[in-house]
Amino acid sequence: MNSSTHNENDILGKYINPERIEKAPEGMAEKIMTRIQLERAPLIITGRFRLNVVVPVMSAIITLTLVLFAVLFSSPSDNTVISGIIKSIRNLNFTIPEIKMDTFSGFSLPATVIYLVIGFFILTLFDRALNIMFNRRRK
Amino acid sequence: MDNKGDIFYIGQVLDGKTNAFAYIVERHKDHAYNLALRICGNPEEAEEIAQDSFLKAYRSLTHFKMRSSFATWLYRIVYNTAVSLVRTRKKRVLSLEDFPADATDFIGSGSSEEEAVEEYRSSLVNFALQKISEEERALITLYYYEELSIEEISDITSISKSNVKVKLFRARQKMIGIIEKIEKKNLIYHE
Repeated sequence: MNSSTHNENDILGKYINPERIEKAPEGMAEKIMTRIQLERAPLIITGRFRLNVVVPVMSAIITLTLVLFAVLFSSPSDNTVISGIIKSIRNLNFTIPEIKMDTFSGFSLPATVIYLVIGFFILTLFDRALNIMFNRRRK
Repeated sequence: MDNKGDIFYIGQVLDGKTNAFAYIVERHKDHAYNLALRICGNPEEAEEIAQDSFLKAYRSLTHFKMRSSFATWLYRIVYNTAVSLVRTRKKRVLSLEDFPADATDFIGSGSSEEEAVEEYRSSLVNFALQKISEEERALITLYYYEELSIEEISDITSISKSNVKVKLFRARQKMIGIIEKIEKKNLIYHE
């Protein structure tokens, strides 16, 4: 606390009465409490948490599915329904197109690099699609 | 202001009892509103500033370190909110002619001459406050109305103690100059 009120030389202090502070308008405290009750911060945090969890869960499901398929493709058994599906997929004679590097003069990269680049490109597209989808949901 | 009571209620709020914040609001609402009003000079804006400040205080209650009193911490929020709002709006230039010439203008129905003089002086101070910068207004309010020490004012405004003293001195001189001019003008008017 200062000693302005006791200073005889303080001319301004003579004009100011510290007891004359402006009172807050009626109902201001109630308005503040209503706004506090309406605070949705915990809800927003929960929402963000859910949104953040969806992406890794989806990623894990896709990875597991791919691993599962890889295992099933490598050891097909004759008894299961899946083996029938796998056989019919194999019957499609699906092959990866062979890229002849000789056609690009001055290039001496192995063909796998090209497949990797195409793979990255597809993953980037997939990533952009997911990004747009989740950003829309957030908005 | 007693800080023990504040600390008790803050503890309650942090324990999840949101309604305990009502006691804190009730204790500090007038001082928060008064500071906001003196800085911005508009009752509607002052109420909004005070409300927003309490809300900001509630949201960041976990960051309150209890190094200073809750009142000082709240004043800092009010000061920052009010000053940034005032800085964004257009400045209104007041002329000395805008102040009523006669103290009798302040006599309301049933009020005594003493009350009228008190009202006149209060209006004079409020008028002079509006003619100085928002930072100076805050310093004058914190020093004269809230009766805070230079150290506390320095803590609220983030201005060094020596600078608070200098700015306070200048603000005081400006206000005295304005008040004297108005009183001189009113004296001429009555002659």
